[in-house]
Amino acid sequence: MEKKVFETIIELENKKKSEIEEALKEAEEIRRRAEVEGKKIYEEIIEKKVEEGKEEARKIILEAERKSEIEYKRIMLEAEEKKKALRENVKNCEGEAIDIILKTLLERWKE
Amino acid sequence: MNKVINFDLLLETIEGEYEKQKKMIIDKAKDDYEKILQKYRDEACRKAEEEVNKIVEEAKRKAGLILQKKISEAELNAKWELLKDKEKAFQNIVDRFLEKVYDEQYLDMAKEILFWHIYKTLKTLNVEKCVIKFNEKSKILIDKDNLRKKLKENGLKMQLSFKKDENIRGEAVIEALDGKLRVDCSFREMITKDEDLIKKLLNEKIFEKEGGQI
Repeated sequence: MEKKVFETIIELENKKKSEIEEALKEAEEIRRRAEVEGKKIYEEIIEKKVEEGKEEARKIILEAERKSEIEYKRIMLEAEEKKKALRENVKNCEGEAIDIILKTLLERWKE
Repeated sequence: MNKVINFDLLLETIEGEYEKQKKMIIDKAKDDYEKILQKYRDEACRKAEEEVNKIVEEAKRKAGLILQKKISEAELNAKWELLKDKEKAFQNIVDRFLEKVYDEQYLDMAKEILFWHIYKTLKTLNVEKCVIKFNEKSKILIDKDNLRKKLKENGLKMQLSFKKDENIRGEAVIEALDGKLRVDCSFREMITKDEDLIKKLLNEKIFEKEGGQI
């Protein structure tokens, strides 16, 4: 009777140990899956964030191009205004210009 | 009877212990699963932030360059456009000067300039004979008597003659050594000689007047 009891216990122990081994394998598999899944998530996050970063970069460049066009036009407009002022000044100051040339030449040649 | 109960209890206890252990192993693995995923998520976020920062910083740098390049291009074009206009204005002023210098209001000064220019040139040439050529238009500017007088006053012995020549394009030409030596005494030539100074003065006093700027 005692022998049978002992055998039953050993049998149960063996069965359970084998189940523990299975559980350990399952646990290992879970961790392995986690690594695989984790790497995939890693790549996805990097790809998504980098894409967002590139989009932000594109917007920054586009904004710079837009601003630079505005600046270009502003500077050229200013130049146009200066050209107008120059033409106006020349038109209104012909006599003064002649005087300047005459005085300069006289100062240059007169003893 | 007691023995049987105790045996069953023993078996249950053993089984229970193993079941607990199994549950612990799986629960721990599941917990690790979440931790591993979280580790990858955190690492990915950190790495992505680094990458994104690099990309954005590079974009900002390029944006700055784009803006700077365009501004420089605009400033250069603007300067060039203004310089072209200024040059055109200068040429127009010179042309107008050459027309108007014969007007009564400028005539005395024009004569004086030409007198000094011719006199100083003669003095520099220091030759025995000289011919001063002029055309119909410019003859009113040539002060023959004063030139001779001034040469005499300064002890310059020079045989001076005057000749009308319609081929003279400017105001006067001094010829010496049988035409081998020729000095253009036109106002245009005088202006060319002092072009930088005249441009500077015109720029300061006329082109840039009232806040205009070249």
